[in-house]
Amino acid sequence: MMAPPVVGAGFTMHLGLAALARIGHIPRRWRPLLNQMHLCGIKSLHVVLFVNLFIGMILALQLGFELARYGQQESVGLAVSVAMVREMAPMMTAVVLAASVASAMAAELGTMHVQEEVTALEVMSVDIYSYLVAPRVLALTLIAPMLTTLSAIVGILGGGVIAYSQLGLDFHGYLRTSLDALADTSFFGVPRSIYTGLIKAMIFGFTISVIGCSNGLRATHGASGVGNSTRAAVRNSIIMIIVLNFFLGKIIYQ
Amino acid sequence: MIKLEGVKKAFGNQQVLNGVDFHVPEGHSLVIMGPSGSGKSVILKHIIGLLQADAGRVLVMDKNVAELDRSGLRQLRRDMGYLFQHSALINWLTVFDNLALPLRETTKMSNSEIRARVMHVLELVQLTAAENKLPAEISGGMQKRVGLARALVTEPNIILYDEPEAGLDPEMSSSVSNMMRQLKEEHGMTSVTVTHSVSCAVTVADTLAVFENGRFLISGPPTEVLNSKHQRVRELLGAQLD
Repeated sequence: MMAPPVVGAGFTMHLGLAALARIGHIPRRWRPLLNQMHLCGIKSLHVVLFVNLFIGMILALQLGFELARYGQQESVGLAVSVAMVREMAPMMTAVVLAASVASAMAAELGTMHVQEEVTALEVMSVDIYSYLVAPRVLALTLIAPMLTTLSAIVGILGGGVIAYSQLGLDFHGYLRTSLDALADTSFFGVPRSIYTGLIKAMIFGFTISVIGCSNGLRATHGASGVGNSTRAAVRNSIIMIIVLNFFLGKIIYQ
Repeated sequence: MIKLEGVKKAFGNQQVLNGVDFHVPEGHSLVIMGPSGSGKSVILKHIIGLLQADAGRVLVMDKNVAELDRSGLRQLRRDMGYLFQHSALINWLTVFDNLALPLRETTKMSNSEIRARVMHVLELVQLTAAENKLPAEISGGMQKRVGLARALVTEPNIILYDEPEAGLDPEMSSSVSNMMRQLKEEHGMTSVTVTHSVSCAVTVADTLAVFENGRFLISGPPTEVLNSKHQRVRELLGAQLD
């Protein structure tokens, strides 16, 4: 008998592969896909942007004070834009999505599971991976890079406001430094910092949605079980985001 | 049509089915009664392939359920309907869409054919007016009838009822039992019913079986079982017989 965490990890990997194998079913599931993209994207947008605005401001403030000690405060745009695009925007967006979307997926599918709705789908010969999982996974995989892009822009602008108001820098100069910092080695014309952030965001979106669905579909024991699965979905998603963030950065930049 | 041969099933240390045998011929109705938690619903889940027996065989339409692959199991399930104890309707779909779902997902029927079929079964359960309502907007009795309609919409040969009267008032319970009887008589549907209600059993059963501790204590025609001198059977059914 395997330990529950091992069984859970195995089921989550199986679910991820099953969802990928059913991407071809998406054309006949465009309506649930758009619905999920609306739920994941539009309904999380304000929180994601608000959080990333302040992340950009915090970075500019703290880095600006330290750089000023060495007379390098003009470099704050470089530091903020690289940090936002490569690391903070993908990771903080993913953390917000884990808290809002993974928890919602786990709660929704968990409630369906404990109320036998998932069993009813199986009994009706409905492919639950295609009907329930694939639209959710694809929706978040597509939405996460879009949210991350907007987050990075808002974060850099937030940093610019601090650079101008607190550090006495020229706003246009800050933006120019920020954009110059991103124009490094390119891959098919896309700067590496940008595709690093976007690849991370896609992988985070995929991971969060698979973990959310997996925990929901394993929920048992009524309302408390749904609560446990929701908590586990958020916790596991955040752990995976941080671990993956390290390894993806290492792989891409090494 | 449905045959269980020496079926055993344990969950951890608890032996839920301990050598269960029965045969339900085509067009026949078996009703299983017994105390809560005795494993009656587990029998239904073996028949529809949601659970696998530890030992023994479950044969449905001469096919061994345990030996079916995924597509074989899906094919078999298309010939079966299942009424869940708590209806298990998909909460974000309207009544119409709940009924249309198995047809959309598992058949190549056109939208107009699906609409005609759904409206036909909604008429059978007298719920045409509720087609655009969500499950949360209708009563428990109506949800049960929608669940029954969903089980019927694919025109199955076999139907499994898991406590069809649960949560219903006596009038609605009687109405659902009569509907089950009507389906058997008019459509020759084979059924297995798990229930706590003697009146449901009397209305529906060709064979009534009493189940406890993983085995059948007695089975036979309802009048014979209800008049049994078996002490435990009388204890289990007694309160309702009085």
